[in-house]
Amino acid sequence: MKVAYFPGCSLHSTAREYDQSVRAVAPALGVQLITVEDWNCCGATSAHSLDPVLSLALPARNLARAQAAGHQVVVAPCAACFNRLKTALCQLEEGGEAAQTIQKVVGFRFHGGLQVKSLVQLFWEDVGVGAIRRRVCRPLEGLRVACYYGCLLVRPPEVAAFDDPEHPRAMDDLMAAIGAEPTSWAAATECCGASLSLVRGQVVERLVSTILAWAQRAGAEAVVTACPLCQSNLEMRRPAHIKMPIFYFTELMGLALGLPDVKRWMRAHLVDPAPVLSRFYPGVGARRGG
Amino acid sequence: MLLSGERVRSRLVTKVEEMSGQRVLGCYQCGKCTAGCPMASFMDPVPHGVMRLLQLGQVSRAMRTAAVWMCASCHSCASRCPRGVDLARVMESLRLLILRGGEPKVRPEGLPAELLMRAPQQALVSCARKYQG
Ligand code: SF4
Ligand code: SF4
Repeated sequence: MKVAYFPGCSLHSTAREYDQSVRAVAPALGVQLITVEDWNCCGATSAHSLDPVLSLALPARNLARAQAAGHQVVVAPCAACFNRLKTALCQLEEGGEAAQTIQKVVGFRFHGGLQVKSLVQLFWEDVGVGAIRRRVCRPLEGLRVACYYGCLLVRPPEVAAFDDPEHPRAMDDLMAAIGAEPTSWAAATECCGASLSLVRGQVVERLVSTILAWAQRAGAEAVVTACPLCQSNLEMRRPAHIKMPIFYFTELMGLALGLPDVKRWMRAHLVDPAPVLSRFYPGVGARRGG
Repeated sequence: MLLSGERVRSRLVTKVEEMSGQRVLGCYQCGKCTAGCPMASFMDPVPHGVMRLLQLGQVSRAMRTAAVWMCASCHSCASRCPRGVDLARVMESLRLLILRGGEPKVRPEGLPAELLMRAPQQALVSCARKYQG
């Protein structure tokens, strides 16, 4: 299966280990990722676009490039990029004046027939849990994880149009497929505070400590996420006494699939994953800023 | 406060409705948005209180609330509202009204360097969009 890959800014900076693990796991599952040529920032607006033209032209340009390259599916690993690209797609599909203006600004004609998916969605819907399970060579048996969806993977429901916005299970299914034990917990779709982390750190610390406390209470040893901002907030703004590693779902998948670069990805973590992972992978550990 | 038709349907209320695409009188004050809002404990008034202010034509007061900036655009309120009111959009329109009227709320040069190094790119972009318009 060939899909257009939109890495997004975060995966080129602080979330490099997410990018690396995505680029390793996808081909191992038979998915060929072709990076959208000359892609640009998705715009990461804080809420819905109130000015559809201004805020949707940026993501729409990426869709135009994917369409020009003949792709049918654009996949974004980052939840926020997924939200922006999908919002742009919805607006283009809806048609009307806004869609016309966006096409004029970007300089392309939208043909339709394009899909935007998050990577979780692609693995869950198109690769399938069964196919993933068959490829696992190092099952993470007994690893109790809390799958954290946050906001933009499933909300707003009319845009994401994926899984259940209140009780999503796609990531839980993926974790079960690699042998881990997803726990049922209360904060799966709570907000981590997003970019308030930059200006109201203490507020985010309170949100994060509640989220992690729920994860602990549910018996989780680690939290699994699909969003660079969730990952960074949960690790950076956690209370000092909670040493729970926060993994990208692709990192754990790579581990279970026996991929060679796992150690390299894990070095970038702020919370040492060794206590949780060494029983599956001796010698895996964190080295700050690696 | 003296309520009147003009006050309730002020120019600013119309502006908020236009920008957000939401009807403020659509809200029936059930409080479900507030119940699920992760930021409600840092807000006073809370999200449905902001809606109430708008219903009463008190847009300027709504614009001065902490709620407007505390809102993390998590979309919980919008996806749960039984009346289909997209409160996340209402909050965004209030922020834009404020920003269009003047100064950016946050300047990137004022943020600690260590934080700027560590924070994912998307946090910087969305923070800039939120606080600078
Ligand atoms: S959930 Fe909707 S109807 Fe209920 S108070 Fe909030 S905005 Fe109003
Ligand atoms: S979008 Fe804003 S107001 Fe609505 S629930 Fe989230 S933080 Fe609260």
